[in-house]
Amino acid sequence: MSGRRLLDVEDLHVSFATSRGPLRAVQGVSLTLDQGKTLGIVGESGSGKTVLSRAIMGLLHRASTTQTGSVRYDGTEILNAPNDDLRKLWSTHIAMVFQDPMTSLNPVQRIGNQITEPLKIHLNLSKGEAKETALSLLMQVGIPSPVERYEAYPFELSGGMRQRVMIAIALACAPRLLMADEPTTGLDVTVQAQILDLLSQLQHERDMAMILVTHDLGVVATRTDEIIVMYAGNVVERAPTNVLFKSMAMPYTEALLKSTPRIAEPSHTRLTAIEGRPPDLLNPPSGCPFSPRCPYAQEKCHLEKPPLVEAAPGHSYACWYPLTASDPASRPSPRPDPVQV
Amino acid sequence: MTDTTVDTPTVATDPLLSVEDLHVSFGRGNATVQAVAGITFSMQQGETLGLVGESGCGKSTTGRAIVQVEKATSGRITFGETELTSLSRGDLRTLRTQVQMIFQDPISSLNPRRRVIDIVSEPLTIWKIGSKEERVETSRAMLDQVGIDPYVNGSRRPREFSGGQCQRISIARALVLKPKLLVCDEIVSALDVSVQAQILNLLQDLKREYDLTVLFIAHDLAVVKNVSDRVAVMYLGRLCEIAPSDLLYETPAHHYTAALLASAVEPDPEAPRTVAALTGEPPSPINPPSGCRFRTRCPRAEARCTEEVPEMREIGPGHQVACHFPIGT
Repeated sequence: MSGRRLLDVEDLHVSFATSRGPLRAVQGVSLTLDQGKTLGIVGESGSGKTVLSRAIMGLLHRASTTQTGSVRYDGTEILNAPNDDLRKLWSTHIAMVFQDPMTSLNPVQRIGNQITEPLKIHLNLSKGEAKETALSLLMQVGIPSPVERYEAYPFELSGGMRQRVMIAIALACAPRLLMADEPTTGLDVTVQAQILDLLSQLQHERDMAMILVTHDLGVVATRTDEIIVMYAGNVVERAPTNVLFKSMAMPYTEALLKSTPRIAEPSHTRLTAIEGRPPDLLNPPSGCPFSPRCPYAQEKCHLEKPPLVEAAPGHSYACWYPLTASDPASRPSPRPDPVQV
Repeated sequence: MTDTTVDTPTVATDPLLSVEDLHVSFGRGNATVQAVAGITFSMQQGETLGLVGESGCGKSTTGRAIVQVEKATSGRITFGETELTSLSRGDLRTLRTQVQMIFQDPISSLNPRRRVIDIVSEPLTIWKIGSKEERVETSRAMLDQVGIDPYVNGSRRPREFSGGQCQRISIARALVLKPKLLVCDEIVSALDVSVQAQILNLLQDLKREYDLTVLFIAHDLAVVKNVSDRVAVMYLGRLCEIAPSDLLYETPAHHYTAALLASAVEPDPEAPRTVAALTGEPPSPINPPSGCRFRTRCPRAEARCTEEVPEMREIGPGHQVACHFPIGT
């Protein structure tokens, strides 16, 4: 059942003012998300995925950033909206789980206070009602002996437990959209599996939409409906999850997948590394941002930036010579040695 | 073998490193943390042993005890023919020319105020190897080998480099004395996947060229499988299982190994969706469970697991497991 359109981002640009000029962290990103669906945003550090998610949430510092374009939540424009309006959306409509559970909780406040705070502010619950709800939330996110934990301070909990508390806080006011920025980075694999399962289960129970921001293709492979791949502030490919893995068109997506070691491969399998490193966003290359590292790059790629085009229903990519080109002659063969940059 | 200039010929079957019943504890009295609680393994010349486990399992402490950054509480660590735990400080210094370590955080493990070329040549300076010109020459060649142009970048300082480049510099510094054993502690976990692949490939190449023996400590199962000949799995200070990589990943015998593998995510939408194979988190190493340390989370635990500590035993060629009821038996 496809739900209604919850989030509509159009041509979003974010740039930071720096002493060396504007740093264009997000360069014209468009995306949509329906109720109950999961969108994965994948990219390496510096790709703009976290800035994008914070811009959607309205969490970026206004004075030092320029944000243009449009972010509509349930039909209402929220980009550059006054903070008072955003506060009414936060928690009750859109909530966020941050990457680092160690520093995102207030270290001098008991867990219980931190969960009941949004309940009292946004839902006007009484102290007793809020505590009851908080205890049931702690139970739902799988915290053992919630009554004792309610009185605990963050330092008394492990990383996995703190992330569960973060999830409980985010879900306290039953948001319709959950933004999870690297929710499992820094956690052990067995705990990561527990947290990802918990998020999927809660999302399903509440028919909530979710944006899962990660650097790990493994995390999004089985848990998202659609994936956006970001590189140097641009969306370079966007497709439904199974389409993306089956017929990826953008050489960067392929390179990212091929450089990831896999358990299914025998040991000592030579990895295909992407040579060089991402471009300087203060001084980006004129053509395709991936062209300096792309093994298939041609002259055109270095000169002209390819637009993001929808080549098949739901599948868009920004590449002059996509891997899926039906006519092999139109696709150049890879250079044996990618250039060092 | 306290004199490093004398090359003791080693028989191929003698292990380069053997660790016997190693214990490392921190604190005292009721608050003693048994970070490593009796582990035994050995490494042959030229092999890569992966040491995998979750945070707090004692894998880093094991690595640090081998390079003698951490003092062993009891047990023996034998490198070649030298017993390391009883060495004097002077002899330990000599040992460090042969045993080197690379750390997780590439940027903070390099001195921010020194030039890259000086960082790499410092070990040579300390050991007064060659003339000044020769030392610079050797360091330049080493930097070149790890993919850093010594003429363009040699005079720069660590902050001017990315994490991946700093890790390359750390590798150059560790290898400039041509050590025999290299301990790598989570050396790629702070890097992006594309850079991680570069570093892993570089390590493979250098390992072959320098005939290195590598102890590769990491939490990422796929990374460990990719680089290792054999893999050892640790849980709460003890070894669960050791086997050749492909064998361990195909037919894990310990229930903890199986749970770890079931929890790992693969970049493949058709891969069976991972389910959290374990509930809860490891117990505190201050007060570990009696008997088998994994029994509190093990799906197969019985009364015997509470009473009796499972010893490591061989269940196949090169495949050892510490479990009373291993999978497949």
